[in-house]
Amino acid sequence: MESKILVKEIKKYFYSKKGIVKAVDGVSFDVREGEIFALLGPNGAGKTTTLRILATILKPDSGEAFINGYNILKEPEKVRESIGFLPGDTGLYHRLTPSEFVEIFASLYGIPKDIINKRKKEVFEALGIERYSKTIIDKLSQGTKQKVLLAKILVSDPPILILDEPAQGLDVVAAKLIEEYLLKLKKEGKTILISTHIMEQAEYLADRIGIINEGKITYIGEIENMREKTGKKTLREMFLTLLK
Amino acid sequence: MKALFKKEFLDVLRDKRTIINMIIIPVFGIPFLMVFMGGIMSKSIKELGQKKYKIGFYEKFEFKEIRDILKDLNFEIFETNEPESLLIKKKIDAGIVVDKKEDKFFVEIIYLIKKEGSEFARIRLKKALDLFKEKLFNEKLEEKGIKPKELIPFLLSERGIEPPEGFFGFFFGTFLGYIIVILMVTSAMYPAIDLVTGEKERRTLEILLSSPAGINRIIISKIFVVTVISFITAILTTISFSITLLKSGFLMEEGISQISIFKVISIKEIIIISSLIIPFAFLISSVEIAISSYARSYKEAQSLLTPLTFAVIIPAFYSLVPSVSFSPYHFLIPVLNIAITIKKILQGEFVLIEYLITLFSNIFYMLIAFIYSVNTFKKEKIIFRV
Repeated sequence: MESKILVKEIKKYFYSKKGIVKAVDGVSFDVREGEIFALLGPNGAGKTTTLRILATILKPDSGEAFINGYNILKEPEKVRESIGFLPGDTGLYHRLTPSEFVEIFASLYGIPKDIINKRKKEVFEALGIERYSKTIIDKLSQGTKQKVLLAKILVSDPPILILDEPAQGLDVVAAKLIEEYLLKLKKEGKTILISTHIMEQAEYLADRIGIINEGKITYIGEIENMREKTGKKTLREMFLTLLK
Repeated sequence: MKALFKKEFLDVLRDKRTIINMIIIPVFGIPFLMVFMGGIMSKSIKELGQKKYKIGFYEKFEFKEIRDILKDLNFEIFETNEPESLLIKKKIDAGIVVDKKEDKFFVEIIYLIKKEGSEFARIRLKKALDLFKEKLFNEKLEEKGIKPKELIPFLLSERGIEPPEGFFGFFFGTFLGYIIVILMVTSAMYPAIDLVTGEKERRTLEILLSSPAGINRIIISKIFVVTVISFITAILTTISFSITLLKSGFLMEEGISQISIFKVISIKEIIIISSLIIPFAFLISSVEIAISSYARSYKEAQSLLTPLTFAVIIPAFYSLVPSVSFSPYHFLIPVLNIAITIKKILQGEFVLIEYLITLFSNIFYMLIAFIYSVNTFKKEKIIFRV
């Protein structure tokens, strides 16, 4: 199967008075078409920096990566047109309404207004946020805000989704709704890269898992292979074993 | 670009601080301040004119008529041998010392320099005593059978022919340039902070940067929106300032309220001034966006932008100094060049070369600021500075 995301030896170091932080230190992996790939790691492992690089927000110090066949350094515009990025711990434009927010960002993808409106209606209904479409975002709950962010990506309908902690701050019901929606999107052929530290979520959603720690990938493979390799039963145990 | 402009305008125009600086202050703040100031000034002048001043009266030789006439003219006479010390202690507003040498009376007015009430008392005393002196002089001449009018070699009169709009234009021009540049800078401040530092603080920048909009279009749309806000502020300030001046009687000149604004500032002058204000608004926006890009928080952005306000006020204020003659080099100094060119245009002293130096130097500074702003925004170390 074709790799929709291909990451080769990317490095990103941050320099400060305290010294060098090797946020990403030679990370390589790929995400195949129609696959959900979960990047699993503890806090500060390099998940967010890796995803920011793939979303062209940060430039890698070395290495290369391709999204939908486009080089992230040479063709960042094409990369951005191919992805829907959900940053972790992100905020929202609190003075806009969900309808305005989604419409504006979808139109940046060059989607005609009538199609945007049609998709917006479908997605808002599917995520249960249609009644908030004209409410100022500032007045919405955290869960609804997260759904609005997801709606923004879904209305834009890019082939690749890069989601940093997509269920962050959500209650179980809202998290479940989003997980089901991601599985639906996978069935529709979307390629999805998520970062998470929630083991159950990774186990439920991911076709393959990449474990990252201290800026390095320590394992890539399917959960079954992880079991064989570690001899552990739960993903938590497997994760802790493979982290080292 | 259209979608980005829509996003930036919607976002920033729903911010109360932008509305306050862009609309409320120019449209309501300036008129209120001017009407309020004008009211206080005219009330104060009226009060000073009608006040019953306390005069320390020291008669070394009796001069009853002077005392009587001052009483008739609503002065309160206070007998004393030490008018000077009472004046210093502020127990009287002014003093009069009457002396006599070789059959001639000497009348001295004593007052406190730069003390408003005392200065006003001096003016009224002098006027009263001059008239009284003239009256006595005329009486003495008539006693001797001479008609005073026959002694006057010529009659002197005054007739001002300066049209009211000329005087108005002078006042209008002096202050408008100053007010415009200050308000353009302050009105651009909040949207610049909100659209850049605000995005950082609210953690929305990543959503924007990962969209297909592209970093160049993102920063250009931000600069453009702030420029528009700054320009609108300049326009509203001009309209508000001129209407208030014309209609409020702030200048206390008769007939001014009858003047049309277009007699004071012609369409041609509006176009010329706009041609200067547009690159200046763009320059300010670029500088403020660059500074805001560097800041990590709203508070830090405000601290970083505060010195900019002073950097603008000082040259803008210099344009108000009446005795300064400006050389062509002055028209190369940003802010000052805008303020003095607007001033000169409105005072009917348009000089093409000064206008061109101002215009092209501002276009040059605008381009530098724009390039600097775009490059600053593109730097990871600055935009993700933690």
